[in-house]
Amino acid sequence: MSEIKIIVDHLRMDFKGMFNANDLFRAIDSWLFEKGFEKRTNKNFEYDTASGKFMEWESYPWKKVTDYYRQMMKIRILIYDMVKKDVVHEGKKERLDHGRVIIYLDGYLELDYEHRWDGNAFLQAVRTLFDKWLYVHYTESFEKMVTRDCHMLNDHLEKLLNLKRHWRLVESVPA
Amino acid sequence: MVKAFEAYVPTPTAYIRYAGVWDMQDLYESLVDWFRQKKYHFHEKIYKHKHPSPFGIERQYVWAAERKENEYVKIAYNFYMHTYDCHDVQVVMKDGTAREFTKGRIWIEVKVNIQFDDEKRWDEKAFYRHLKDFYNKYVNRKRLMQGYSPKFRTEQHSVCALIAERLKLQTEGFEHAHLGGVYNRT
Repeated sequence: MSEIKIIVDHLRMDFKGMFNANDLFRAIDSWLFEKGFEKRTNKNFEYDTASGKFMEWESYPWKKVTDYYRQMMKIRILIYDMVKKDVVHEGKKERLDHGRVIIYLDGYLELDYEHRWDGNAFLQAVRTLFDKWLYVHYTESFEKMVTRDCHMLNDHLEKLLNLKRHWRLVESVPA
Repeated sequence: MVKAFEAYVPTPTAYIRYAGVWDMQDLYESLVDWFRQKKYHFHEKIYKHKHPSPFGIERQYVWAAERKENEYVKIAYNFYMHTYDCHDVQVVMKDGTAREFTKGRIWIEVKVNIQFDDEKRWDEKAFYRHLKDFYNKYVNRKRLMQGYSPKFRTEQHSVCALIAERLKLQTEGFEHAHLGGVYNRT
């Protein structure tokens, strides 16, 4: 078994208001494409309910950083009570969605994803030795990449949904 | 029996679930047409129409599509569709014409796998099997990881995007649709 480290645990965004659902999904898709992530959409559920649409969308994009480290993300979007509403934007009538959006972001770092170092206990011990002591700087730098990517995507979605944002450097936050 | 690397799954099963109104005929024809255009051999293995319940009709579809990429590699798609609580509804389109749509719930599973040596030519003797295993693991590996795998992963995403488009889901749109020919390298 390869080792999977949880780096970002449930970065949550809760939003209620006007948005464009199709733009939201396209924005995530294009952001992942620009950053070189491979898509892996597992769940794509959509229900018409009495109070509006309910949606659940879950994706696990991943990116191979080296032949040993792999970055993974889990994006889970829940949309409740989504209804279409007409709005006037810059003098033009537009049709947008209104509802509650909850977005969860998780970031993972997978080590030895090709399972080259888990054949026996000795190899696993060597792997642990390298991960924790010899290549610790590499592991930490890739962990920072996962954190940065998750926060960048979070910031990108906050911009799209026009939320009040505050920027802070992740490295300076005390553990 | 050497089993390693005999079949490879480039991406996990994709699940699509929808409740609402959709055009089943259009969905059916679009998917079959998509496979036909990609030169797949398409088989409808199961078409099950269950006895209607008070909530509506329940139907099951099991499809399989196969294509020989070359003598050694075969691509196989497995489709599972299940519709629940369905009834036909008349819908008036914008141009005034009336069409028959389906109202209910639908569950779709899309699986793709890459099979090596499906004709079992290299299974006759233990030596041949080990030779095949060596070829799959060390010689063919790069071609699988950098050629077949991304190509058919993207292809599975494109068929899911087609379903989303036909069902008119909010997630319709496929960013990788106009990707250059890099993934066609095998």
